[in-house]
Order: sequence, then C-alpha cells, then structure tokens
Amino acid sequence: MDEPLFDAPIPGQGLTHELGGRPWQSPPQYSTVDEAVDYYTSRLSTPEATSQIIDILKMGIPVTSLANTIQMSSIMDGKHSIDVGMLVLPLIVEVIMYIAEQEGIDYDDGLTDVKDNKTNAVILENIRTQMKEKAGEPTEEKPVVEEQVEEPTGLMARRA
Amino acid sequence: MITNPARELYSNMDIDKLKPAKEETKGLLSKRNSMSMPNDASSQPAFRVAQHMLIYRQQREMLKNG
Repeated sequence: MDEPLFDAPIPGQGLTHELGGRPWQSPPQYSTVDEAVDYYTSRLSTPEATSQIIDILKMGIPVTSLANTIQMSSIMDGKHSIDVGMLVLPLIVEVIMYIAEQEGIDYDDGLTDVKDNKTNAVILENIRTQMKEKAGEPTEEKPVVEEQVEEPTGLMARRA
Repeated sequence: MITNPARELYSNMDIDKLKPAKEETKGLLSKRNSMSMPNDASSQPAFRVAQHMLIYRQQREMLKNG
C-alpha cells in the first residue's frame, strides 16, 4: 500500500508567493535565441560542466533527458523563456553529444525508440565493469562471532 | 505526465539538408531591400540554431572519422 506523502506542497501553496517574486515570473535574462545559444555554448564548454556531463552520461542517463533538464533549470532560473528553451534544446543535445565524443565515452543518445524493451547497452557495460572490479578485489570475510550464552546468576538459578 | 520534447525536437531538425546562409553583398551597386526586415530563412531563429548545430555535427563527424 502506498504511504501518504506529507512533504508534498499543500493546495494553493504555489499562489502564496508574491507575484513577480519568482525568477520565471520576471522578464528573462536572455530574450533572443542568439543570446541563449551564446549562453549555453559558453556554459557547457567549461571544464566543470564538461566533467559533470561526462559523469552523468557514464551513469547511463540519456542525452535528451540531460539536455531537457538543463534547459528546464535555466527557465526556472529566469535565464530564458520556455519558447527560447524549446528552440535551443536541439543545440544542447548536439553540444552534449559533441562533448561525449570528444572525451571518447559510450553514451545513450536517447533518440532510439523506447518501446523496444531492450536494456541499455551503456548500463550493461557499466554493470559488467563494476562486476569485474568486484571480482578482482579480495572478498572481505567477516569473523564469525560465537554467541555467548549468559548463564543465570540469580539466587534462584539452577546450579550445575 | 511529464514528457521530454528533446527527442522530437532534435529529430525534426533536418540539418543535413540545410542550405548555407547567403552572404549579402555590401557594395554600392548591390540590391537593397525596400523592407527593413529580411525575408529569407536566416531571419528565423530555428535556422540560426540549425547553423550552430551543423558546426557541431561537422566537428563530431571529424572526431568519428579521425
């Protein structure tokens, strides 16, 4: 049985904040596609962003999901509007795939049909490498602790 | 239901058939448009995004082919 969620927002909580107080309710920082393209190309090409993207792709996250998350978080931060985000989204996918191929890692582009029910090859490869690493390491055997039976020491205890 | 539009948007960007943008001549005898707004595809934001994508695609193909 599903447990009730007590940390969910109460109905109408989204309307309690002052209008215009949220970043996405104010005019976006980059209003045109050209500005958004410059923003993403410069942001995604930094060493920090590149290493984070590679780590995420190595976990088996599809490129399309990652790109959508990046543009959605930028909308929430008030960087650009939803319309600009939709227009820039294919470019973000292309940039992420370029970064992945530049680093020479296997990645899931997320463009293949999801309905074929096949297990992701990247995830399988990661599991294989993890199992190989585990097989190479010596297994730690825990020392067996014998349970000591406490003998009753009271006045009424049976004496041997 | 939360859907991810990235797959459809990326697939619909048919940048393989993209024609390069024409560079306007700026000579004195060049033809001038009477309207201030240009009427070609380069004025469309999706076209400009596709131009950027094409550059990255070409770089990716260069990496693949070595």
